[in-house]
Amino acid sequence: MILLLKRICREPMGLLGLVLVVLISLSALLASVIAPHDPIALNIVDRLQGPSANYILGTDQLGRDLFSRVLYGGQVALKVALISIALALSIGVLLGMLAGFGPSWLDNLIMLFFDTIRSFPTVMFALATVALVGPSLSTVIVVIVITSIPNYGRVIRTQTLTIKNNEFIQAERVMGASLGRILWVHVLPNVMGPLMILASMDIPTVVALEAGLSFLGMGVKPPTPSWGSILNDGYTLIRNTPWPIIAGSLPLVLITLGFTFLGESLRDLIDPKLRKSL
Amino acid sequence: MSNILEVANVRVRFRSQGALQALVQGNSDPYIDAVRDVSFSVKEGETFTLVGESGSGKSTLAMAVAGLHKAAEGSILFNGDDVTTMDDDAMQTYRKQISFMWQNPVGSLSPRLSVGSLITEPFKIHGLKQQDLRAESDRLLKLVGLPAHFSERYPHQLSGGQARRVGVARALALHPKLIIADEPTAGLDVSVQGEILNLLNRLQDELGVSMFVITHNLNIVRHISDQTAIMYLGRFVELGDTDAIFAQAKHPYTLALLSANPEADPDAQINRIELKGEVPSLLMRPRGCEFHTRCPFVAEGCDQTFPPVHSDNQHWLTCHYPR
Amino acid sequence: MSDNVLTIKDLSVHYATNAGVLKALRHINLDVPRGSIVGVVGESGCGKSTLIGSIIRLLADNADVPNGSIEFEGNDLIKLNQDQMRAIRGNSMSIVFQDPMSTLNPVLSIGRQMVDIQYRDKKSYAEKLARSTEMLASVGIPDPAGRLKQFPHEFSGGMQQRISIAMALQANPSLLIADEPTTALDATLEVQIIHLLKELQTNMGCSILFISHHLGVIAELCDFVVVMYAGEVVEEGSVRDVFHRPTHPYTQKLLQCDPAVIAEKSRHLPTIPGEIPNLVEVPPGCVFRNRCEQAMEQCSTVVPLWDECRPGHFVTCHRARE
Repeated sequence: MILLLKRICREPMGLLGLVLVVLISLSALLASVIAPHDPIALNIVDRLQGPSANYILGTDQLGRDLFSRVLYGGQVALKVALISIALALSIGVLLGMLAGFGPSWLDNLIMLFFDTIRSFPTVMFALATVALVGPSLSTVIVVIVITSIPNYGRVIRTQTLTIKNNEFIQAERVMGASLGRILWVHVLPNVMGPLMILASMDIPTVVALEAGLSFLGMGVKPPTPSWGSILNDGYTLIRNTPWPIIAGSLPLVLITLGFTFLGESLRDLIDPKLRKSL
Repeated sequence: MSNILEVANVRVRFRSQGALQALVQGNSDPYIDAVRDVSFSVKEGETFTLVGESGSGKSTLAMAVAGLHKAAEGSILFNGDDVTTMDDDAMQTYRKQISFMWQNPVGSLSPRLSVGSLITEPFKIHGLKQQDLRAESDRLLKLVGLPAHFSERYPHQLSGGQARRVGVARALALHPKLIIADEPTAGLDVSVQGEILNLLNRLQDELGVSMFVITHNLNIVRHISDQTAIMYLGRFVELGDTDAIFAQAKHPYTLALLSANPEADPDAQINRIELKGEVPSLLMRPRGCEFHTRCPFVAEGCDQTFPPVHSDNQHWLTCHYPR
Repeated sequence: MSDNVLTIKDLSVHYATNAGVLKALRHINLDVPRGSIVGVVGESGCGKSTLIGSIIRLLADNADVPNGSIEFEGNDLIKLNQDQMRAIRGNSMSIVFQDPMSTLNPVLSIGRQMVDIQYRDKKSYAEKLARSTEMLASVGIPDPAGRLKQFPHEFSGGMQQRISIAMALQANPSLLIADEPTTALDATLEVQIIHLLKELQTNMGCSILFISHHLGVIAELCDFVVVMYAGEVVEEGSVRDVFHRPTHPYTQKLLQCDPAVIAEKSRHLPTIPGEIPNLVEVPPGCVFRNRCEQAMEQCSTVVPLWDECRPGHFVTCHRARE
């Protein structure tokens, strides 16, 4: 693990990605400590101000400090991303392994399930669900989980199919290992590698999806700060001040760059090693 | 001495076409026989070797004995119990009494587990966790001649010979009565092959374990085997006491195999029996004697009827014109 | 000085690794006389792959050649750049590998591949096709014209290897390098391929560098033998000299340990105890010292020299000088 981190730091892109990811994560985690102001406190007097010593990124139309809103918005973004990806991973991995390893009727059934979900365009599906159930953080999470499961499931299924007939799996079967043991101890550690990288590159996508939904007013409910809602405010205020837009888009850009760079260098580093050690 | 393993008329088939395709093409028997009508027995404490080339079905037969493939016909009796009709519980008990050594020494070891975990897998699988696993791991490593600190290593850090030994250690974990070894010297350097063979022989002498060895390397057979069978296209063509087979082989295929071994002597007389052509496809088995398409001594009747069995005490073969 | 198609002098190849500099080849001398078959015998870790990589000049990025020369057709291959090497590879020098399935492109037909590699020739398509058919026939593929349209997976392992040999010999090279071409094949197929190589070599007059760890095959096929151990050539000579009068202790032990050689049934076969030393920290003196039963005191301190113990028979061993 530490060796991996050291090797990431040797690549300029990887190092940049790592730094960005760490910065954003820390700032979100420590938002309550770092934020200079209460993100939802109204302060109409100070509305629509540019950046200053007091308000690092300026204020929005209700006088709320944009910097603090960005920091707390990070919490929302990362919470949605991590929870939904973790859930999607767990379910997707389980179904993928079962599809790859189990009998062909089970494989066909699970693939049918995956293909059905994938036939819905993600954003349409999200909008439809929100229209039915109403906007909230949990709705966003559920939508993202459901639409991500097939992607992870398919990758794991392919990986499982590849190693299913390897000799070490046969060896375990001859020794009498149960299906659960084979999947958990022998298949999972050998298929997770590429998936972790995929998942880390999905984080910016999920964050963008959440921001998009919030931008449309279908995501988190106001006054909870979200980068998307900041962007929405900025969109209406563009003639008055550019700062809300900058405040909303800057973290999105940084988080996308950060995770993408990190994920790419991880992939470059892990794949050849995987091949060598397997 | 009783027989630890008695195999009778075993047939192992695989589907060659899906049901729909077979229906459309009018194929009433969409199967290929990887193993067709094989019978033999292994005495307790003995080594039985199966010799065959690629496509002979030897690995399939070994896996059928181990319970990995279903035998479509025939019986496999282990200490009197038929493996082909065992229920799950009986199967688990059977699995504790046999073990398998795989052809690929490193590939048969789960890559993310340490050697110590790999060797003690059989204990964990069968829920025997109350044993002191560390002590067992040390004992097994010692048995195969590896130093105790090897338990921390990972498969990709092992040489071919070392990985082989780990495979042997794992095979010995639960004190099996029968070890099935698939190409035990494959991938090993010549100077190391002797080590593994010596190890297997020593273990047999000390622990009385029976062995069923599969190989295409005739050179090692003489040194470890009591009984030998030669396999071609899923059938036995010759079977008997190893010394008898080497001294007085009668089937043309056996003779060709024995003569195909180049000697490490540039001045050696080359008395080679050359085989024509290639191994026929399992989808189109030759009529009559299945070896006749390549047999250098093919004669009248070989392509018409199935060859008769000749069997006198230790020597069994099927041929129209044994040499 | 006989006419050699390939002369390797004092070649060393080092790899830069995390653990240090790995000295994979150290001061290698090797000759391939014109029109002969030279066998290279060695076990894992002897440096065979590095040797081949150095000759065809396709080494890993972290490889370095600190000294030595490889004379081929009047050029020192070490001094050539990749463009010049490309003119040689597949043309005057070609190579057959162990696994034919990895050599052959699975998605192109055999005919297409065999015509493609004739890209240097300014002949018509029909002429190239005819040449390919001729080559396939010469390696014993029945109905060559028809089979040109087929794909690699439609051939058996033995046939795929024959096709690889046909492709390698198509441009009439002066040197064919065969890297364990029969290791993956069964014994009956192995002897067919050896027979084929011998025939082709006589007919086409090319020289063959045949790498294998199968002593019997080397004895039957080769005119000269080179024995490698842990990055050094320890013995080189005619096949009779090396097999009947092995001088280096490693060669002697190797010949003793081969289960094929041991005529009598034995439940306790001889082996060479120990392992090859770490090539990052090459031990002083002779590299075989820690496994040699005939070691003397100077073996631990002085590196033995390349010595001609008999005309045409070379060995690196202190004992040989006695």
